[in-house]
Amino acid sequence: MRGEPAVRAREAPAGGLLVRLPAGPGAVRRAESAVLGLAAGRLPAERRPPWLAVRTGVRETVANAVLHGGGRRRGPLLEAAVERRPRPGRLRVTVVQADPLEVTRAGPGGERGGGPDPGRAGSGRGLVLVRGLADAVRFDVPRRRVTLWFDLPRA
Amino acid sequence: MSFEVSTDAGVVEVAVLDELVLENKDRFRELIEERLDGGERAFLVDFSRASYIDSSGLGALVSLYNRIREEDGELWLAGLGDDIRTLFELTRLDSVFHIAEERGEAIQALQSGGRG
Repeated sequence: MRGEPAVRAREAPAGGLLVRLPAGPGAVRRAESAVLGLAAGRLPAERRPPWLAVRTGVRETVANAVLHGGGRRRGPLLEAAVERRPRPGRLRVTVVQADPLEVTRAGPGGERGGGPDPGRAGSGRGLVLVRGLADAVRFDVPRRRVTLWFDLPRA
Repeated sequence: MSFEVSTDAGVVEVAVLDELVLENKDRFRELIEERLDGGERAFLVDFSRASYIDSSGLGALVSLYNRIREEDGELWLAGLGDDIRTLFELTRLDSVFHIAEERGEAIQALQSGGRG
């Protein structure tokens, strides 16, 4: 991504990744690819968490951040890492909707991107899927941050 | 190519070839709505060659289901693999749709009135 490094290794967690995603729907594929690639690169096949759970968790969380972040110039921030403790470890994925300081102005009437766009708000099914498939979920509303954990199978 | 569409003996069949997701759900809706507007009333969505659906794809199906029912039509689903079935079950949509194990079963139901 020109002008916006895809991975800022300096800030990435040890053995993990930090990616600034595109601002549009392309963020979803980029996030899926990054997280599944991380799992494939760091973990043997028998120790990876279920594909369905990870893909759905990443996809729904990033899609939600993009759909509710209309008007932002910069896309969500994705951070992911394999946690080795507690054993047998977990895959952690955090999606930050966007830096509030980066909201673009819509002109008179206020700023865009400060909250859900009612015309594109979802049905809540994405949240149901995330809650149903991730092993743990934490919402940090003030920071517009969602963290998911996926347990790694024991070797 | 995300979908294959065919019509046989009054049943419009849409095969999802890989996945039904945010990126292609609008095309999916168009394919079915064009035929609904053209007078077709019996629809089958075959997932036997699909591997995944996300909440946007599920939402598109719900929207189409409601629209088809409003027009006195019927929509059946068939060929859900384990992963896709899990996603329907988590959202409890498995109790909303007519779901057949095999497409032949769904076609037979649609041709005999669609109520299963």
